[in-house]
Amino acid sequence: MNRLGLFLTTAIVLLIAACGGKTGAPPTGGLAAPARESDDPQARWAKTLDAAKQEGKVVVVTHTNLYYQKEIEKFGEKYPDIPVEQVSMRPSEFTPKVITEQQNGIYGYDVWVSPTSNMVETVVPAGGFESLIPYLILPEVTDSTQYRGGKPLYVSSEPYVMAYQGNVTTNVWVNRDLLPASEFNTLDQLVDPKLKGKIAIRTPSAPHAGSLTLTGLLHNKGQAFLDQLLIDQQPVFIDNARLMTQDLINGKYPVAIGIDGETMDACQREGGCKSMQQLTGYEYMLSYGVGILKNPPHPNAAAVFLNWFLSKEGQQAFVQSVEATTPPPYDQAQSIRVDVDPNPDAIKDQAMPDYDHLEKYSLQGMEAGRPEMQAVLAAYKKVEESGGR
Amino acid sequence: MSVATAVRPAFQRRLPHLRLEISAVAYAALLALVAFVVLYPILLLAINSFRVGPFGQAGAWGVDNWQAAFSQPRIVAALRNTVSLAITRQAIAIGLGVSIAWLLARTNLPGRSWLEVCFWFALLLPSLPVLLGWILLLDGHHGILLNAIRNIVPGFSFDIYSWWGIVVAHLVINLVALKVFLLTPAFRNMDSSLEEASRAAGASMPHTLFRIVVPLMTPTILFVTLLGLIRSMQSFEIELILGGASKIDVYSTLIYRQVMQSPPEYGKATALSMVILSALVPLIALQQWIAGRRSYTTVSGKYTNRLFDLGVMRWPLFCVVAGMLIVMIVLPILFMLVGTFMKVFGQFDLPDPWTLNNWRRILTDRQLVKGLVNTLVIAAGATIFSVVLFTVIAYVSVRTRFVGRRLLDMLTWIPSTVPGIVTSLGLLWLFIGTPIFRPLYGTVWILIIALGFAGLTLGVQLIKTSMMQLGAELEEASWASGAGRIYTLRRVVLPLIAPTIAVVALQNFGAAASSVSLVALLGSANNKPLSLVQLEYMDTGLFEPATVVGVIIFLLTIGAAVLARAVSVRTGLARFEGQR
Repeated sequence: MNRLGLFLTTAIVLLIAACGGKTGAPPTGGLAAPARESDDPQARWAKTLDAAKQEGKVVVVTHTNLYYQKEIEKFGEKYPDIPVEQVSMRPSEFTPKVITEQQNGIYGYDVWVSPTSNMVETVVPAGGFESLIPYLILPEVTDSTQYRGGKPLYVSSEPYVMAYQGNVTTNVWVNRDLLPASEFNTLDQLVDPKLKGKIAIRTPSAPHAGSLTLTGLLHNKGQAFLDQLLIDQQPVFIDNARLMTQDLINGKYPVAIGIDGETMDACQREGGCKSMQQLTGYEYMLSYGVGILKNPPHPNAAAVFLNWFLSKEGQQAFVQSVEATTPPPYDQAQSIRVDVDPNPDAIKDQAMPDYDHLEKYSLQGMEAGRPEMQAVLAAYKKVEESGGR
Repeated sequence: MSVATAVRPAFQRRLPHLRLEISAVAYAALLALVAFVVLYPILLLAINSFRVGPFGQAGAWGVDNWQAAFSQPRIVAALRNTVSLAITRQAIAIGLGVSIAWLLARTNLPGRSWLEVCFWFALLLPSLPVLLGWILLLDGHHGILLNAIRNIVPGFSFDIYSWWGIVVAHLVINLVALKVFLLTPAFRNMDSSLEEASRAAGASMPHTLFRIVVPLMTPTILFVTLLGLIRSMQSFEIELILGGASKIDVYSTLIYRQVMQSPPEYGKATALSMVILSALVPLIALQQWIAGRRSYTTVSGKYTNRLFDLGVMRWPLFCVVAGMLIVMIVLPILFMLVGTFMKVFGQFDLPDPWTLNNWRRILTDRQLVKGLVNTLVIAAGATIFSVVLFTVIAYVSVRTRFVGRRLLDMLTWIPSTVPGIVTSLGLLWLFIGTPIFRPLYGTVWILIIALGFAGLTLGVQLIKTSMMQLGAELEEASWASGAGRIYTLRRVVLPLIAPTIAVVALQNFGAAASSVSLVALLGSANNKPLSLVQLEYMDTGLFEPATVVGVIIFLLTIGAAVLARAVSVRTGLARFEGQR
């Protein structure tokens, strides 16, 4: 092949490849039936649905948990004319991607469904979301009485991301073969000098089960308690949750904060780890929410998905998806909607929040809970600086 | 006038200046492309490190990130640990790697061909599950293997959660295997007449090895050592897990923790990374200077490869090498496979710990076939792209008089000096923010380019050192027969370095097939490979089915390894093994 032929071939190949890429052109048009145009929600909904079918698809970003896939399949059964392009990414990876794309004029996603920490910490302040209000159309979604607590729960002061679920828990486990209940039975005893050097904590240098548990302790017991736990008790800080779980099971440490809950659940479900016990109290609530990303390329399809997801049907589909894809206990199979029954595990394990008294919890994934997470991270930083880790 | 110039084809003699300009323009374009892809992301990151404020929001300019990064109390200890760990394990690994590579390539060790392939397998094993397996074996209190040893040798003391534990973990997981992987093709390319002359003069085998063989292998050994040092400074997974409990920090874990903050502190991570970059640039320059001082030709027109006869040591040495392989791959593979049939990995004391459900779940998952196809497309595409690009870069660096060839060579080292968890953001900015790449964003092509460039340092340097072993007279003989440069490259040079290219291709294929963060950041819903399917299972709390997907990825790369081995045996100098 001569040089000219090589050049032409390369150019053609690049051209073909270029055709498949994302463009930076902003989307055209908006909602087909903005709120002020008509007060009849059914008429609005019909217009929106027609426009959504014209748009041809909706791009939904979810966490990598498999139950979201199952949930989206159910949307597809209900609205076969609106196929879903699902992008499953961890929020920590999607956050820099979506911000960078938006800053460069690329708007490729419509809806984001996920735990809300990264949304609140980074994407909301960066202006990455649309206000949800124009997109909420169906009466069952706009009716405040349909939500536990008497109103929709937004994770920030502005209505950008609505929580569809709150999950209450704490992650403090004890190996009863090493530490009987007579010696350690409440979380207040975490600062008992007898436990000095015997507590393993997942390194609270970033938000995860370990640091989230510490926010619950901070919320209820105060800064002095937290400092005592992190400094005076000389805990062992371990980065890998699965490893820490094995250390607890193998008896290396009698108490562990921030273990890998799925591994422990699996072990107990299969008849093992009988002497491992989880202590309750001073919980945190982790919220899971949904938002419409800035300049959605398919705004009407986004509205259809959003309203379906927050409806009774959508939330029931979510509960069933969790039950179908994850191993028990089904603590996450619950919803903020009053007309969607949670899985009995969520009630038994007290994973469902008391939405009327949310002040009991450290509200993680919400604007209100940010200072507490920052305080936990700062407290650990002080430990590092003093050489205590 | 040289022979090569005198016998150039007629049209080239009529238009020598035009030919020179076209090639110079092409080389310059190559340099510009490599410089842009390598330096632009780092430049963007460096500039961004002086922007103070939350990610994604307008901020002020300042040095706060740099001050905060370098005022961390553990930074001095981390640097000390990084250097001491890197030097210790590289010294041990190089000694073992050189010895094993020599045994495999230069002697009549039984089963050497398959032993070499087994070292490739060791390199393709996923690090984290293997490490968890070793922890089960070597934990100071509960390690299965340690407790078995203590039954024989009471009081035996070792804990994997220690400084030496980190060294041992690296050596057994992939460090020695990597050295063997990189050194063996270069050792094979050595003309045995040089060793024969040494022995004929009365030198012993060790004397020949250290006074003849090793000096001739200097560029390769230097490159492998320097690459090993660089990778040591970036390694963090093993250190994070083993060092955390024993309070051993290394520099890369400090960088990792900055990126894992919420929101991520890319500014501080970049500031810390710049130190590694500045510390390594003089080492890279030193390596270039040493490699450029003399000729390291070992393959000439009179090439022979007679194998050294180990005599009575044949089978004992085979047992030593095979024993190492049992530790490095048989045990980890066994653990990995056993884990896929367990209800809870590592929990042997459950009433009924075994199950087939993990395999059933994965083999009936609709994502499996699509993930497999996407993985093959992405990995194969990245491999082909990288092999072509790296061969061209290496050829320009070694075989041309292009004025920018040293700069080109230096540039190929840069990507490995900045940790991947930092540069991935820079790559995102590169591909979104530049007109030439923007149309490709969101397509599989961008993944192929990004993953192809990911192996730039190792690929280019390995091919380059292999080319340096080839005598110039081989190409000149081709030109004297009327062949052009490209024809000579294709029909003379490439077949001779085919085993090295196979090694580079395999390494890139394996890395691309198992890549997660780069694929997640740059990919789209339409090209989800198996590595992301694996991640979904892990994040849903299904660790054991995720391990099954990991085994499938491993088997895929094993297939590639067998193919690469077949290609390298049919071509290259291995065909002449044992012949005069």
